[in-house]
Amino acid sequence: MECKDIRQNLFGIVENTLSPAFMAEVENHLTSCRECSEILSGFRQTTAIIEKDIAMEPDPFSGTRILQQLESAFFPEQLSERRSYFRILQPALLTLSLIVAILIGHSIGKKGINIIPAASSDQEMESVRSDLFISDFTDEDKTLFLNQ
Amino acid sequence: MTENELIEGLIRHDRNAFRELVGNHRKKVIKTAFYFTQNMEDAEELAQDIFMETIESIKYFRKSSSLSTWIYRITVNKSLNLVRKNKRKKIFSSLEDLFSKKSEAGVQDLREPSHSATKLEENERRALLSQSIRSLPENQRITFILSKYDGLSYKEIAEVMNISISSVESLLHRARLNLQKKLARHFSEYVKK
Repeated sequence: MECKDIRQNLFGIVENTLSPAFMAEVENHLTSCRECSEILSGFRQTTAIIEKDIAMEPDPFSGTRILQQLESAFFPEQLSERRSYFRILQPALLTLSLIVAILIGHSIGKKGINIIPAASSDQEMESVRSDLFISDFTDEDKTLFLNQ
Repeated sequence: MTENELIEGLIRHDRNAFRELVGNHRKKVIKTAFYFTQNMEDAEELAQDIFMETIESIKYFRKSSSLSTWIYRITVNKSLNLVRKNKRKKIFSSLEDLFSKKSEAGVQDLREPSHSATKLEENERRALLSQSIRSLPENQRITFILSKYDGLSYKEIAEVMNISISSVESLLHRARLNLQKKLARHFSEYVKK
């Protein structure tokens, strides 16, 4: 087998569509010819890109984009009708949501919010006082402290 | 929906027919356009044009072949038109570059790599492959892409290209020989360096 036999059958070798006898001769030749071996390896890696391209999937949203374009091309009046409806509805919906927000705010404001609970009874006042650190002093300490 | 119902629906500009058409053929159209252009954005834009053209000219469809074959024909034509247009643009921009003394870095990188043939980066290999396919005569390129990438039979390719099956066989054989020769020469230069 000569080098040209390899180089003229690169696709057949890579796709494995040649006879077993021919493939055996190819194997034999490759063990002794570095150049053919490199060429076949480069060819195999390069044509493997075809398989990658075949496996590639287009963007799943491309279908929606294509349909939108077809709609705007073949039903432009319906699209503009829809747009004009939207043009009227948009400010009306905005005004409505603003009114609802004002009403909610007004009703909350009317009820009032008690953030700090008022100390309503003497008992509560006492409990507050007892929490102060001065209550930790004994009566004797208090006298000493005040006389200083 | 049968093919006849789909065609009738497209003639009537029925929305369901549009959806069926895009749903059934979107992947195939985008992928084939990509195989020709090697650019996904271009392929998606082309797909929009292809479906527009399909609907606009469906009334001229004579049903002598399947709808799928007809869509393939439109896809191939549109893709080739874009490739030609891009080629013209490239020539003009390279002329501009020549006058503004810019180097052709991309092409030089591909011709004079510094490493072994087997260690080529994937993007270099991709550029080499697409450059080699692009350099084939147009009819050889179409048969090669439709056969190797799209997996169409000789009969289907013959219908898409409107030529005989024996012409397809001959074109495909020459396309494969030319590609082998181009790639083998390229890798042989690597080895000798």
